[in-house]
Amino acid sequence: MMIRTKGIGHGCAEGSIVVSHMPISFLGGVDPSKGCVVEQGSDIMLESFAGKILSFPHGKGSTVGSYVIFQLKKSGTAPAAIINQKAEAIVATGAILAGIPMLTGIPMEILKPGDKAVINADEGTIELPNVIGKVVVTVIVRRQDKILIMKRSNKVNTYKEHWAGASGGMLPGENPADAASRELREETGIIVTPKQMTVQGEPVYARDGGTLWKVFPFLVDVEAEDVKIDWEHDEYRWITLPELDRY
Amino acid sequence: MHLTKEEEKTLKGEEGETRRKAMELLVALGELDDADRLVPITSAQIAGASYKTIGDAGLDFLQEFSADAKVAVKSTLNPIGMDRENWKEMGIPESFAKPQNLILDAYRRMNIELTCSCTPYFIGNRPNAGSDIAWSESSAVVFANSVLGAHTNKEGGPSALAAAIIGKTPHCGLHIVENRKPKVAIRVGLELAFDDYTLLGHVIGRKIGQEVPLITGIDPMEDEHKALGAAMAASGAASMYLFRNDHKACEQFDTIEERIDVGEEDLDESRAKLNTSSDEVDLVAMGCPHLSVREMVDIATFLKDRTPIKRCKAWFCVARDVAKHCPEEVRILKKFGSVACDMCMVVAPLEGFSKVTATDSAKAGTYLPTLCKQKVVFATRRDLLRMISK
Repeated sequence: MMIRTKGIGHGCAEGSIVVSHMPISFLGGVDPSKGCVVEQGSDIMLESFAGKILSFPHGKGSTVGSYVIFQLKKSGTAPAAIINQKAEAIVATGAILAGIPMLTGIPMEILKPGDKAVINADEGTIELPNVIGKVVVTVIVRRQDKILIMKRSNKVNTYKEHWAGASGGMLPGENPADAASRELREETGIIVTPKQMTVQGEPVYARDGGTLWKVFPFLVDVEAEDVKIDWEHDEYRWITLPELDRY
Repeated sequence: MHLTKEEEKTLKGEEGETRRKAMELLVALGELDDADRLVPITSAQIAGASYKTIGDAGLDFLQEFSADAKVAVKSTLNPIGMDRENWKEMGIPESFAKPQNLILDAYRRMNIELTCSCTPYFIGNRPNAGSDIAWSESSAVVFANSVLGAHTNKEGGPSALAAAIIGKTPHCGLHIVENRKPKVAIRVGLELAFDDYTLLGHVIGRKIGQEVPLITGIDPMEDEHKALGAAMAASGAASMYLFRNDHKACEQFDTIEERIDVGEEDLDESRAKLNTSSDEVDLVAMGCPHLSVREMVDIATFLKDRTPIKRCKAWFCVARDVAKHCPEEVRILKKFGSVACDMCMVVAPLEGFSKVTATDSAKAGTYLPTLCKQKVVFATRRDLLRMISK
């Protein structure tokens, strides 16, 4: 699947992904001769990122880190591309000085170590050829201080017996709000037009094995307590947010 | 971000690879900060000059980068790790001096003035109020914004260099007047001596993070501003402050969201944090930021009739061009230690010959333990001068 985000610098790169869930300090935290992280406690300690796509939330530490990225390139130990969740000046500067294509705005949660990826910094895209993308909507129904959760039945294809909001895929020609309105009516009997949704949130991504879910979240406020669940769910509950941890 | 046709051409590489890369860097950093365009600058101050901090990585980069581009505006350079003339006498090894000189050669090729000072505003790079500039060196950034009224963000070495080459910088942050309004009011309820300003800066930096503070109850002289701003940028992330003598001034700003009182106990707390040793001192270092002519005169006046105690090294760090303006003072100071031109105590390879450094600068006190592995004796300037004279 292909994800569109923001590119920094230019160029394309292809390779397998190395993911650190911790910020990286290039000065002191990276060995430029080997092309690996050497900071104690790192989750990619001593793992070579040379020629790979190095992904981490953001840079930290000294601004001299920019020059270290340049030095990695000179030593032939640089990553083929860099992916950040939220780029800051140290790493962005280093990537440009070294001519390494870079992307920002990619949450680390959607990447898995070893994923094959194609990066295009000019277009600001990342393609994950071995990952199947699925676009879905999920609707959280709120009544005063409680939200509606429903237990998915044994007959559905995914996440059997998990608690969820009203969710589903989009039909041809539907936009996310249309799909949200339809799923809500089918699964709860609640009728809210696409325009009456209280909030449409920014899409969130969830990675599950070889599938990447792109979820458009919606919030709907209702007055009545009545819910008519269909075959997709076995039961429903109205709960407060703190109670959510139990499900 | 909107680019003019000229800027687009530069970005396409029509004016050479260095200018292309410089433009690419400005555009990328501008987009990260939501800049709408580039603004012309009148000067640049470039950090990243000491071999100790930028190492072989920085040297490699500068050698390649300097091949085919010159700066477009007046550009001055930060201090380096040694005195260009007296490095041998001061205990700097040749293995340091050699690559250090190659770094200077690269900057010279780009037509950057080798001022090697953190106080460009004392030696001819003194921007007018309201002018846009691209300065790195955090202490100079605070001075330029707060005392001179010029507009600059706290640039990194490469972004200041890129701005110098293109003659422009992204229009964002403190280049926008709206962002220069104070968010926090700092009420200073005590009489301050010269040596207290560095402590006050250390206190404020710890308390405010990146916000622009309005400091009331102070009326500093220029050297006191220099000490205040340097410490504020070292202990925190400040790039600018406003100041008024009258506490009531904070009523003129409707942007203030928080009020903080600073008292004697805050200064004591900073003093205690900075003073980490009572051991025998190896080096007494003054001039962080670099000494002004006025400070050179004050120090010389105090030392004139005293006798040197050569128990430890003493450094008076100063811009070479400032030292040139006070030859008589330099002659007196040299009896007591080294008049260290071009260099900064924090980015010099101190750890080679010193374990304990005495300083009167909260900025130096903040960085010496980590960058130079020093224990720090934090003292007033008078006390430092008494350590080296009787």
